[in-house]
Amino acid sequence: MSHVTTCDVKVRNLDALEQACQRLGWTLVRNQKTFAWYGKWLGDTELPHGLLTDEHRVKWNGFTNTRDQRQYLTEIFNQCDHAIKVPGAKYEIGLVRRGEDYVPVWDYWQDGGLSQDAWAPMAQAYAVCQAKMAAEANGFIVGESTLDTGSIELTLTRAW
Amino acid sequence: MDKTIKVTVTPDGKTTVEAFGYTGETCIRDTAALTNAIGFPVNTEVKSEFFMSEAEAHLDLRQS
Repeated sequence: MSHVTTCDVKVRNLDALEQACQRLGWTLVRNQKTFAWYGKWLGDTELPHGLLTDEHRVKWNGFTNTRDQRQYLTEIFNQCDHAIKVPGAKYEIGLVRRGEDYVPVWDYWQDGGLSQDAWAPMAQAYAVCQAKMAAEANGFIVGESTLDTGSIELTLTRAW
Repeated sequence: MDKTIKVTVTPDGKTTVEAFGYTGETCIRDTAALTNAIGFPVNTEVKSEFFMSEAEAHLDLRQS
C-alpha cells in the first residue's frame, strides 16, 4: 500500500445523487423549492450544520426578540433548491445550495417519519455512486461488494 | 503487484481511499481524482512505497 486518504462526503453532483436515490428507492425532485416539514421553527433543535451563511447569522443576531429570530429561521428553513422524497415519510429532505455544496436539511420530529440520522444511508449511497462515476470517468473498472460491517467496498483496477 | 485502489464507504458515509501497488506521484494522481469527487480529504497517510522508484518497488516485491 502506498497511500491512504480518508474523506468526508460533500454533495455536489446531482446526477450521482439521483443514482443514489434510485439505489435506495428514494426520489430526487429537482428544482422543488420547498420541502415538507413542520413549517414553523420552534428552536427546540440545532440547525443543520452549514445551513446558515455569515449573512444569515449577522441578520439573526440583529433581532431583539426570540419571536422574530424564529420567524427568520422559519423563512430560511422554508427554502431549498431540490428535494428528496423518502418512502413512508410524510416530511421531505431539502437540499440547499451553499457554495459548491448542497446541505441536506430535514425536520426529524417523529411524526414526519424521518429520524435524526435519516441522511446516513444517503451519505453512503452518494459516496458509492459518486466514486463509481469518477472512477469510470478516469478509466477504472469498478467492482463492488458489501462487507459484514455494512460498509461497501469498491475495487478499482485500470481498464488499460 | 497490480495497481489497485480500494474505496471503502461505511454505513454513515465515511470514505477511505487506499492505493495498493503504487509508487510515487501516480498514486496521488489516481486517488486525488476520487477524493476530490467524493468530498474533501480529512486525513492522508503516505506509505513507504510512495517514496520508492518503480525499479526499487519491483525489486522489493521480488525479495519479499
